[in-house]
Amino acid sequence: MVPASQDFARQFPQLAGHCRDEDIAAMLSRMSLRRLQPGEHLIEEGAVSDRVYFLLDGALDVRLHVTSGSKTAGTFGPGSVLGEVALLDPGPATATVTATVTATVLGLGRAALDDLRVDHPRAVSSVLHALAAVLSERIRRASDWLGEVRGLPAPPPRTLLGALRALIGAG
Amino acid sequence: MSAPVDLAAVVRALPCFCELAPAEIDALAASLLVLDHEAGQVLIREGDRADGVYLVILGEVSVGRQRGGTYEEINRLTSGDLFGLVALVDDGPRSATCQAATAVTVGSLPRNVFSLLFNAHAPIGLAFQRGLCAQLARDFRHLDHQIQQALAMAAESDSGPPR
Repeated sequence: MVPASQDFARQFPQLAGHCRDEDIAAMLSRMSLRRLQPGEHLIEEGAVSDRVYFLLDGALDVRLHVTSGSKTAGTFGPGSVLGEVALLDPGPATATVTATVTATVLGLGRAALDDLRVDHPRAVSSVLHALAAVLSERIRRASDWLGEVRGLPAPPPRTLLGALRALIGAG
Repeated sequence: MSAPVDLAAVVRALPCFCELAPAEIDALAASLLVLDHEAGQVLIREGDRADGVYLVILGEVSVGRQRGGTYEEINRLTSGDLFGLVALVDDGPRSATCQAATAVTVGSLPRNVFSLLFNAHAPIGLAFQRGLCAQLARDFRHLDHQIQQALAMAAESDSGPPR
């Protein structure tokens, strides 16, 4: 079942940012619910997609294919956003996303996001805001990962906060 | 100094702004500070606090990271590309160093204008957010591609004779 606006807003506070209840309801009315069985693919690397997915429950594994097999880019839990690259820059998906347990996602397509623009600009702005934040975090992580794979030394923390993060292994 | 650039034309040519009204394009162009830089000049330094976002108008900008005394290029940007977005979106330190790879002309949008556009839901704000998201998605795609290449190379050297 599609969640109630308040529940969705609680699970994805970043999406509710500038929204009123009716904006979230409009967003939800254009999303489609999908239930995945363990082992089922949500997204297949290389397949053309233009949908972003919001994980309501369960867990999803993200893997990159390389010549020697595949490499995990992490496992994601409820509250995660996936597939945003294909929505924002339509083209082949950058990774394969597979349910590790039973999972439920809400999908939002590019056309639906365009439809919302006129009557619910706040909803569109909130979605773009949230996706920009997700992408920024992924870019930071991917840059670090690239450095690791290329065998480069990690950057020295430049700030006190950075040093703290390095100590506690976060961020 | 290079020849004066028709900024409004540059802004209008960006895919994200093509739907905007002329007055909005003029306003956006007017808020850009345009500067020329020589090849090699550092425009953004990794770890620094972010002061604005940038648009490549002419020339090429190299995006990379300084590691163990060497500069490792991650990406090469050309006319119409935006850079310096990540740190303004998440309010963290600069995630990479950006330097002029050739002589470049770059437009900069200060932090306060960025915030205004990033937080507005008027058409100009939505167009900006869409353009910014599309640029971030392209940047991520590029990184993803580089990671796959680096993983493939690492796997090759693991299976080959020791060097």
